[in-house]
Amino acid sequence: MIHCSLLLTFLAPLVCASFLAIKSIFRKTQTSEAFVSQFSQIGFLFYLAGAILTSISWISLGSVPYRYHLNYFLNFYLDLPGIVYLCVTAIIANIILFYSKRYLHRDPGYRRFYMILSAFITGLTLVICAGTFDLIFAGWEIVGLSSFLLIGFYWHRPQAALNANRAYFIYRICDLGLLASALISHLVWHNQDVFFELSHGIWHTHWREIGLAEQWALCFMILLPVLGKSAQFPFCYWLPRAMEGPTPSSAIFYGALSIHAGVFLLMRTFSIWFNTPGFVWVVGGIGLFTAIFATLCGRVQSNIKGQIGYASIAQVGIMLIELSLGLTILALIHMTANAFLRCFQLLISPSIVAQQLQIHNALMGQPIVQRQSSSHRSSLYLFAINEGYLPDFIHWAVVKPIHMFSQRVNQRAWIAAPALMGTTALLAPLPYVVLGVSVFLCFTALGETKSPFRVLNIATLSNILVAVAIWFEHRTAILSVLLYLVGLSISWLLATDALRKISKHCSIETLSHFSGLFAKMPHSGSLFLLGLLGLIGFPLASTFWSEDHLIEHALSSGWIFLIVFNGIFVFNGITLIRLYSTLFWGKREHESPDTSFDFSSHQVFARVLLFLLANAFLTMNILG
Amino acid sequence: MDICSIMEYISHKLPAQGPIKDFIHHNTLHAFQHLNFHEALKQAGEFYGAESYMSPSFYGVHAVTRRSFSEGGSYRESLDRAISPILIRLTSGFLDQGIATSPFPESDCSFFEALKRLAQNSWVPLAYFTNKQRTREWLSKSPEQVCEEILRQLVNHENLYELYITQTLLAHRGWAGMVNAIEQRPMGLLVRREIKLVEFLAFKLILESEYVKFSGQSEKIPAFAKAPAGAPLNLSVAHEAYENRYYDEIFEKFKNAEPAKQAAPNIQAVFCIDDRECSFRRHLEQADPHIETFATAGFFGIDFFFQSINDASPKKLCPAPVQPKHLVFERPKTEHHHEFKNQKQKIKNKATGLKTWLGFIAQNTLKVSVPTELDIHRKEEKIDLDTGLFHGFTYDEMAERVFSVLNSIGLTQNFAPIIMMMAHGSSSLNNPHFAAYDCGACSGNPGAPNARAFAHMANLTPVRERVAQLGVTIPTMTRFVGAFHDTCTDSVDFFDIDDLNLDSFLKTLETAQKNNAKERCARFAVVKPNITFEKALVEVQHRAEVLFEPRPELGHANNALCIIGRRTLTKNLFFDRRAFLNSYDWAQDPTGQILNSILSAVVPVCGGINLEYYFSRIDNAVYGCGTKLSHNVCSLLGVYNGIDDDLRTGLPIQMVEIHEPIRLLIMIEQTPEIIQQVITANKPIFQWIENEWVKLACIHPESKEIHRYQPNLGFTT
Repeated sequence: MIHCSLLLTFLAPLVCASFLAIKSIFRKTQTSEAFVSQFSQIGFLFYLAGAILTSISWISLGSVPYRYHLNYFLNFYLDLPGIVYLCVTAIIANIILFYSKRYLHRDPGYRRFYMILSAFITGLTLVICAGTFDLIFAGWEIVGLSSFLLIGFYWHRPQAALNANRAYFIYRICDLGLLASALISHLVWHNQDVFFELSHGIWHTHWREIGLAEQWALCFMILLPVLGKSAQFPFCYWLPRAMEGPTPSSAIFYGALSIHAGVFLLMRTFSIWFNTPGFVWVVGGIGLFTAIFATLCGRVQSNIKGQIGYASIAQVGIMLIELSLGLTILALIHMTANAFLRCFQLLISPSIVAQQLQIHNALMGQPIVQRQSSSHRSSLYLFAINEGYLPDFIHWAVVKPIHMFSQRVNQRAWIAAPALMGTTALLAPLPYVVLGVSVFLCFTALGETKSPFRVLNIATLSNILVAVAIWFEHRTAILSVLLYLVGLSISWLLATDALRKISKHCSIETLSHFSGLFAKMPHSGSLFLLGLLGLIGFPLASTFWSEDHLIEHALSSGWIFLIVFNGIFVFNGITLIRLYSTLFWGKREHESPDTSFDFSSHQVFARVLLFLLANAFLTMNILG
Repeated sequence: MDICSIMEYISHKLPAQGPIKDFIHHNTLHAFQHLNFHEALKQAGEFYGAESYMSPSFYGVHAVTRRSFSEGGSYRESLDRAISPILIRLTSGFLDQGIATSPFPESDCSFFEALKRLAQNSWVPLAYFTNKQRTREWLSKSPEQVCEEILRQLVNHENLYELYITQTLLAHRGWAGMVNAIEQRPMGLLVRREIKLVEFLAFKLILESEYVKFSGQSEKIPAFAKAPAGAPLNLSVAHEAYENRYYDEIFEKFKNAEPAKQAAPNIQAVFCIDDRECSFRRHLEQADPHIETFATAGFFGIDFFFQSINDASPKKLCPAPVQPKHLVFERPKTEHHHEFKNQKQKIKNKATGLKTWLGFIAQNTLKVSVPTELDIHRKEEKIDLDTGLFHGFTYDEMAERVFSVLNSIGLTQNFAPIIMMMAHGSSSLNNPHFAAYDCGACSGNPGAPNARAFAHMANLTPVRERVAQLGVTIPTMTRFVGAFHDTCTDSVDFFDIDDLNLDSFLKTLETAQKNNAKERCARFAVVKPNITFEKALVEVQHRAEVLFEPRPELGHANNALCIIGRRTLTKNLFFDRRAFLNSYDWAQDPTGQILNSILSAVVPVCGGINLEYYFSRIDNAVYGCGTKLSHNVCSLLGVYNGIDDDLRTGLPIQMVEIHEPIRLLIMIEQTPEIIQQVITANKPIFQWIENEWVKLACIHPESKEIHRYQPNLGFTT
């Protein structure tokens, strides 16, 4: 019973997303909005039914943590927070779907919206029901990408593209934590039913074996994605800026569901960090600080969505405090209430004008009581309105230096690379030389501002070299490395193919401006993104699973390997996604231009099918 | 060149849209109105970097290579991007009308003064790139002085000042325009704020200068030239052909029309000229042939400020250019005074609780509902010193207004027992642009008080006596009734009808509502074409009440025509809700005096609506405000995307997407000679017509021949 309902819960949004994706390949046959929304509505109702059935059968099984061990990779786990979050997700997803049915009427991205929404729900369900860190990571990536795509929903606006990029970069950096958690959990528990074991206290024996520093490291790795996804300090500023998509998408992501994914992750891993000496102070401290900080920033926001966004962040901060005090149930109730409230507030935010007018009139225009101005009030106001100078600080202290550095590297790449290789070859063993070169290439790709081909090729090359370095170190890892390389090449082929098509018909002179090619080349754009997803190790592609294997090898090869591997994972992701948004987003077209140069539907379908089949085949080999 | 004259010149080219709660339609390119239409389009296209026509494929013309929008000076762009957040946050924070929970610390003084105090009080800098000491010094000077000094510092040559200021302000033209609109009309705000465009400019220049210093660039801004946007594609010929196709169709219609007959009326209804009333009138007449309808600008000649029992301050209820001198209050009837006070206290408590924006109030939960009356009659010639307005009207003033309206629509005899004054407005939920759907002749407000006031005035015996002296005798048994038509839900409310039996009219009305709803539903793509009449009515009512409807109604979409003449001329014709209709009896106006006053109201109001739709449709990204779906309300003043963006003015895509951009064709039933004489004498109106911002044609009242007006040539057949 529970298996069937769980399966239904997974399949419903997945089928929705895939069907709409296929539909959008054949965009010549105009699907009607009614069809799209009704199809999704049915899918989501099935999802709701699945969630309810799952809850009922979970309760009938005695309301105890439940695991469903399918095979080495597919492990599911359900407990009270999971069940509650699943139901909240199902209800809110249906509300949003219902709301959007009319709201998005005649929007050119109608189908795209439903597709991304379904993908998001699929990803979130994966996060909720995952039994291992690997599966959570997979879901987490899907949630992140769909968030990126919905912030950039109106892709022709440069500001939307920039904010989507910002959100993705922060996600990407923070996702590193989950990748590392997955790795550490493999090391510590060897076994796959991590969360089940955690709930049964079996973990203690393994846990005590490792030292306090390692425990703290793991906890930090878990905390990092929490801070990113739930927009806690110091990452709070991306969330209000992410309100660029249609109102319902802002409501479901930044009001209701995505923002609470971090809280959920903390609940999942509660027994790990709660029992790590001293770590509750970190969680509670960050929560407290964020709550105060976000309240300050939210109170001075004179736009309605920004204010709700900050209010939501502040509440999540309080949830962190509750969790650090061990009040899981309270946090759960708090989370549910906040999800519904913020979702509702965002959905009705356009009515704020009429509403404030009514209130103004009801109070007979009573002026707001002007408080005595004082220096601390003024200072606090300026501090809050600048968001504590945090975005600027991060821009100048982190983003800008990396940017400058990578550009320097890029400009001198072809002189410096051989020199670097030569010198390191004399000093260090071969694997480290290769590793060094791949780091170098990674920055070269990041700093490239002219040719998209070079970005693509250099980034791919740096990925390849890391794998080769691992192979040099671990000759036994040949199979994993080969599978990874094959997966990479397939993705690279797809992306290059799309890029060649584009460069044949559009001139791409620079990457320092947005080119907005999506209008002209929608099919190529989608194919290119699909290829990039393969390159950055998105769960859809086999490379995701390969990376999982490789990272284990990397770990056993030493911490340098691990850091480089992770760093390249992060930076190549950023480079390639930025490449996508630069090429395809951020520029308006007055009319819908001629798309006849683009791939035909059949060409796209064939490519996608081949890509998916190849990846499925590879994935089976990797997992099997 | 001094700063003041540059500012004066620039301020006209900024968007004129004020706070969104009073959305007033106007010609988006009003600053270019002294030019011929196509020339203006060309210049404005270059100035704003906008398109001037639809795409070639729209006109069925073979595609010519289009200009590409260059990215502009990248220096300007990076500068704007860097200072944008703090500029917008402080400006919108200062102007905030009730969104932020912590208000701007200083707000009882001018913007510049407030910034100065803020900077002086604060321990932290205005922005991460500003130097505390330097900013304080800048802010202690006068804004004009700051502008001059910084321009000298940043710009190489004095000749470039104008260009620099233009680019600086155009980069944030939504905000600059809002600041300018507030400077011009500070009364439009809920919470008074003192701000000047030059203060906004000075603040922006301070930020620019500080950022230039911070980022270590050379002090002088590198050679900047006007962004080579290139000339917009000239499709004027194709566009004219496209318009003419429609105009010819209309002329053809008139040629073939059978003259209509009007049965002896039981009820006469006076509507607004609004294009949305065009179909409602038709359905009403068809439901009962004994109903005669008229139309005049929806403020019914009553130009006043009005404060209802639910308002905190008076609203202006007349066309935007008119400055009313009278103020009228609505007050609870004496016997309900106690109840009124109780209710008022209750909603006050409720509102205090809701102030923190915890939840959502359904419409009208914060409204008092008690029987009311208008405090409209003024006995003495005294002006109220606080407001500078007259409280109410004297009988003479009332009579003058009643007479002029009746005279202008030609309703001077054959009075029916009941005369409805049918104002209109539109209800919608979750819609920041709600005011754009209300009556254009009432400055974007529902016109209900005007209809009510008119009916009240016209029913007073002393007023009727005076009207009779002016030449129109209203029979004693005739009664005027104020009514209000909601163009979104198609519902109708009546005012002050305690003893009146309207049952038979209500039946007719119901039929008309259903028919009208059905006709309107044909335009909604989500509604099935075979919807029943009852369901159509439910559908349109539903649209006003749901949260997720970005198109409560389609507003003025597709408006293209304005007909000034008797109803018999248009009664048998189908205009598909595209025509503004204004009643006018040529025979009663041999001198053209009435025509002159009609044109003075109709041309700016209808022309403004038409051109606002026109430009928002032609280039929605520049002249319009883009899609509604991602809008975020800022400071209750306007909408933008994301959180640190420029305010977006104009109409959203959802309002204009089905609009066919056709200039308004005004057709007047009068002899060409009189029309010619009237428009030549009226300079502002002549400019609209001569520069072809509206098109003009006349229908000869006797020969029924149609003459089109050509600039410089006059009327031709």
